[in-house]
Amino acid sequence: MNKKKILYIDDEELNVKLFAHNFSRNFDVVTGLSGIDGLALLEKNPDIKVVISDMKMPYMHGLEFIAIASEKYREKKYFILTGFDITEEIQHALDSKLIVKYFSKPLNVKEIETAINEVLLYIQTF
Amino acid sequence: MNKPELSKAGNNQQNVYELGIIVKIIQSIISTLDYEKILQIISDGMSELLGIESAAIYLLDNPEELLLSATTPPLGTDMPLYLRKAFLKDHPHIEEAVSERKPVFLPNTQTAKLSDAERKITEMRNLRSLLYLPFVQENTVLGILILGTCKESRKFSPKEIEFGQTLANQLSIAIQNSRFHTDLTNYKNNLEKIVAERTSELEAANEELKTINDELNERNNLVIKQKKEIEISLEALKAMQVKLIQSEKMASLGVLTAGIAHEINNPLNFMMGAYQGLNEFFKTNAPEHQQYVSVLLDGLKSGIERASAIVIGLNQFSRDNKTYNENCHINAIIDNCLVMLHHQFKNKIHIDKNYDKNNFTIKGNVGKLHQLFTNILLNSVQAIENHGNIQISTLRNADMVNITISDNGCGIEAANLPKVMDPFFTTKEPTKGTGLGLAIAYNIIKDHKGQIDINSIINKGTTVSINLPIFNKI
Repeated sequence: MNKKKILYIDDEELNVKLFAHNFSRNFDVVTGLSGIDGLALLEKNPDIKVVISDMKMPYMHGLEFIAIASEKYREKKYFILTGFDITEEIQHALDSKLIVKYFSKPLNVKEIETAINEVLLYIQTF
Repeated sequence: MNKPELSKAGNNQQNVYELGIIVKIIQSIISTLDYEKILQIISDGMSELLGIESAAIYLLDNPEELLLSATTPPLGTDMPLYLRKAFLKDHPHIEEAVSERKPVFLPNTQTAKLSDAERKITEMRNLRSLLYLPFVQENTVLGILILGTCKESRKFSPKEIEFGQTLANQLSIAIQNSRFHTDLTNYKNNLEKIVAERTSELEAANEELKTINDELNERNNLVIKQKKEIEISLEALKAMQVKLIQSEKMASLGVLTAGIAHEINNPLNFMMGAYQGLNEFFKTNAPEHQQYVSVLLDGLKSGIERASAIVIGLNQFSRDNKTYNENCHINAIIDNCLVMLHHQFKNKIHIDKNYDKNNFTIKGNVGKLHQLFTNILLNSVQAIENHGNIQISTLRNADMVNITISDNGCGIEAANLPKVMDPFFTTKEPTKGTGLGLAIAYNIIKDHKGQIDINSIINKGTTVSINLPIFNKI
């Protein structure tokens, strides 16, 4: 069975490396260090199903990136993974269904894998 | 008309008659103190005594002026004052009697040399012989009695004249007395008048004082009222200041902790990522080493989790949420506070927790409840100098939650107990307390519609009991 392609965006290089390391067993992981990177990678990889982004990044924060991306790629599913406590902005993104879920750092690999698998199942079914 | 001469010695009947007249004069004088009446009595009595038809009494108003005060037959009561006045110099015979203090006898007015004024009077009243008897009292002349015959002249014997003068002198005492009496009466009336005047002046002054006093009272009341208002405003200002300091402090603390949390969470995320990667690696590639490696990996995981718990606690503590409808897990909030205060009491204080087993929540503000319990717990921690215990219990009732925190620390003096919730009241050293902890706690409890009760015994410990409603209706 083909590994599904997921995109992870975080401005901390170590986070990106470890994420790729941990999730490559089950997924085809594409990573970038900024929202700009993310938009370019989405353009290049139309088969990306799931996008996970850090919140606090230079130039464009996670929700700004996701907002732009989701305008163009409505069928993809988006998540936030952040070291911040939940904010009004994140709550609003959850309420408006812009993002499926919000994960807090330090990350829990199992929790994120489970959530990704759930949305992939949803995408396949419908 | 009969011309009764003054009695001669031996004429008893005449003596009795004269004595009778004198007694009558004296009785009349005694019976009255009216000055004018006395003069009239003297005038009438003397003319009767000497058997003369006409008499007049002039009193010396001052050394130059005479006042006609009584006549026989009597004066009309309506005689105006200016007609009764006469100048001494216009009446030389009177003037002579007055200055010599001796009687003067004028046998016949028709042959004597008279002044114009004298002539006018004698002609008007048809007077012939005149006897002038001055009233002498201790060398002072009070006035003069003039006795006169009408139509015919008559002679007065020296004895008659002497008797008349003696009697006049005696009567002058009565005149003087009655004059004193009049003066006294006038003086008394005057005094009464003065007293009445002074009284009314005093009453007016008193009234004025009363008005001033009322005004002062009014002003005083105003001042008291203003003072109270100022005190109330001051209290309100103090409370406002506490809230301001508190919100400023928490706002900057919130920014700071959120920053710190983010910065710490990232390296924790590396570690967690690495841990999970390693764990998976050993599980898959080297199951024979799993047991040995798991001890190391578990240590790594516990460290990450504890650090993460602190960061979560910090975030909870400084949450900037304004609403009071968050679900607050009281037990978890207290545990969080204990994590935050751990460095303050580890190895020193034993914490004895007796939580309500039901995992209840109340409606409130998570961040503020963290601040509340941190403040109360920090007081208990600081009250214990070396080693001690803190007991924490939570108990859920039908619609209230009771949280009791008691310590066996230094306690609070009874005199200070009512002041502990006053803003800026503290007995701690300057670096250990601002005096705001309980004031803030009180405000937070009030905002949650709850109550706080503090009991303390010096050197035994303090118990703080907090009651919070499960659904505060804000």
